[in-house]
Amino acid sequence: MAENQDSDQELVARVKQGDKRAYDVLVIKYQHRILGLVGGYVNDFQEVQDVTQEAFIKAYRALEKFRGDSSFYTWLYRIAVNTAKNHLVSKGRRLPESDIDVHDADFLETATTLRVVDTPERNLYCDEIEQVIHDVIQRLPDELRTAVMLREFDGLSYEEIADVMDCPVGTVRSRIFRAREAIDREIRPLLGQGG
Amino acid sequence: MKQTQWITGKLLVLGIFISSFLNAETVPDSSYLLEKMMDSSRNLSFQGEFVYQQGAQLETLSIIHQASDKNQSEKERILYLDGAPREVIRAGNELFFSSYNGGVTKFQHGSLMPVINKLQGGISEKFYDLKIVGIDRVAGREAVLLLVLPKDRFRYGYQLWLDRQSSLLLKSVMVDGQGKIIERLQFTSLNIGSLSDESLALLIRKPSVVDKTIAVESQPLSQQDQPSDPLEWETGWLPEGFVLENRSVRPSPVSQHNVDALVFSDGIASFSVFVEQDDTRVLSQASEKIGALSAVSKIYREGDRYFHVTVVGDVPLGTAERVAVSVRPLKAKP
Amino acid sequence: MSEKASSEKAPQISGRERLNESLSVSLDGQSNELELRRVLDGISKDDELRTLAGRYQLIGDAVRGKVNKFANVDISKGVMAAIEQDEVDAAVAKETSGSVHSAANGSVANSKSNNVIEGLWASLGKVAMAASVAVAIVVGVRNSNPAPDVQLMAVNEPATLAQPVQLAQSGQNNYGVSGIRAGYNAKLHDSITPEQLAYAQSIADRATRERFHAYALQHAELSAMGNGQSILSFARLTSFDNQ
Repeated sequence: MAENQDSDQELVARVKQGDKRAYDVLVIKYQHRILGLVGGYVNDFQEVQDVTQEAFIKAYRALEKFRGDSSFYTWLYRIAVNTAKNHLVSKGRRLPESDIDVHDADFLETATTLRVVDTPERNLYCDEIEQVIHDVIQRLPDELRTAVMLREFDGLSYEEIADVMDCPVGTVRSRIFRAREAIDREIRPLLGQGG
Repeated sequence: MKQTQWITGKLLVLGIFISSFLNAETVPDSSYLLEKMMDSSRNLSFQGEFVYQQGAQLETLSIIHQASDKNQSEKERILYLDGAPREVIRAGNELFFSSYNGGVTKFQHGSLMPVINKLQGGISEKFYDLKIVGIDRVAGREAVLLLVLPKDRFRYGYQLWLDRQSSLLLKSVMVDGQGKIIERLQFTSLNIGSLSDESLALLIRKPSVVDKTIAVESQPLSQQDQPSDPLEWETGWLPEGFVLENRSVRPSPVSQHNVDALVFSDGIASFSVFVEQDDTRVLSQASEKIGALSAVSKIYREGDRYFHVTVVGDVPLGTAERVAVSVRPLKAKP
Repeated sequence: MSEKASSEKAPQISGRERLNESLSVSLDGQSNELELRRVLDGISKDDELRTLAGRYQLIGDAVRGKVNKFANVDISKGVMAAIEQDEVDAAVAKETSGSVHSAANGSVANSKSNNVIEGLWASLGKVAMAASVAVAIVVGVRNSNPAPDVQLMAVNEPATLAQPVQLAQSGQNNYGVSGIRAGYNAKLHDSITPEQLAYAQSIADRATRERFHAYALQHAELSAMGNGQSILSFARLTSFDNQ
């Protein structure tokens, strides 16, 4: 998966300057991917949440040492895998047989996600949410759909999207925003969030 | 006694207006009605929607119920139509509770739960005054309005609207000792009889993914009321009229131990007593009223061992507290 | 194209909408300094903006086909509360190490430690506003990895917490965690600091709430499987899941 490597730089820098709120955004951003990752190691629903939280706290404490050699996400991913493994060891459980080495988070994430999908770990709502979101995207005006897909699926930066779509960056940003708004209107009730 | 009269007055207000419709020859025996209500809820197939109100909270739910017959077990689906999606699927000896926040919990019984003390007709009459006060209409159906007034302060009072044909519960209002309404349930639509294919299909749609499975082992009592596998504890006090309905052992939802689960009923109200070994070592007692439910948790100690007692049910908080406090380790009696 | 671009900009953009757009841009890492600061200000005090951030992220996950069963879990508040708790703990530790010297000057030490308590309660208060799930997690993680002082108390002195916890009588349907009242009396326990008590209390409250929630479901199940009276039994669970 092509995740824009630089998109977290600003947030990470702010955390290092002591702005905890920026870390909050990073947690909101990556919690579900990390939960899914930890869920590949730990079975219990509550335990997965506990371990994930522990991983995020560890990462926060270690952020000083993060030099930006990899993307923040790749770095976070490694911490999460280690935390999950340590958790299993401390509980005296055996590590999963198809244990994976951590080299490239993006590649591995795809692998674990596939595994997760294969063993039906997804609950009733996942399909429904994805379905609704895909439906709304299909109904979006062309320029909104293209913009949001280039961003979310292809992981392009705003500049790159502006290039592809031959329009100003300001237009890209408002198109992506309006696409998200349109999708959000449909999923809010589904999630029971009035907002 | 004064208190009870007060509730009576309160509950009768509605009754008076409609009692004039009452036709003496159509009035069956009230305790028979209660029995038939219980019976119909199991042995009739029906489908409908109802509203449930608790305090300021109002919710709509739907139910599909299929009676058991030669070919299949009893099945049921309850769906919460408002707010976060939640669903109950009950089929034979399995029950699934899916909640948006808590995932899917599956209760798996080794066999159908044996009812230990089948409530005999008339038992309710000793502890409640039963009065048929009128004929009303609920969800487009003719209903008999039955007042169920407690004779002591250990239970709540009820107004029950029962379908005139089938005695199915159409509407229920529960009030506390001060006459305050605690909860209201009312069907807005109800069809009794064979279910549509569409409904039948919904009944067999079990969740494909289960987050947590709770295997329940029922402990039938032998004929002398002696448990086949004796408990290590006993309830020192039970409100009169409440009898043990069934008893099971299951993995505790909150600890690594098994928990003894006993449910007691007086034919109308019920509460459960759960006892398990305690690991928390935090000796706190807690009680809470959660809508119509009262919950009490308490720890008792026996030598080096700590046990955690939890009582939950649709009884006044005082009743639940008294039951919880009375639970004690069973020792050789002097 | 430039014509179209200008027509795409709505003539009247509300402040809310502008903030939402800033959020969208910030999540993509393409915001400017000022925008990011507005978003961070917003996210720390505006629950609506927080949940919106979560949903924007969910949209991305869905596009990539990576929505998993944890999609509706939110641990972010728990993480933040734990991080804040860390700092309070650090402050408490500092306070304790300095207490030998300040013994003669009790009132000063006292007011300082009061501040710490306030800070602690404030951070608990924030948690209380969050979904109860978040509360459970904060305390849960700390519980599984307890600070030495608390562990000591929990193991050696169970009796110090023998007083009842009175959860709020929810006649007004206020089932929130914020309704929990403390039932402990710190004066009885000279050896235990108010911080430790408050902390122990929060663990006890969390455990109790979880317990009641879990057993209310068990009771409904018992009623349904036992005598088939499931309609009311399950309707009564509504107050839990739908706060």
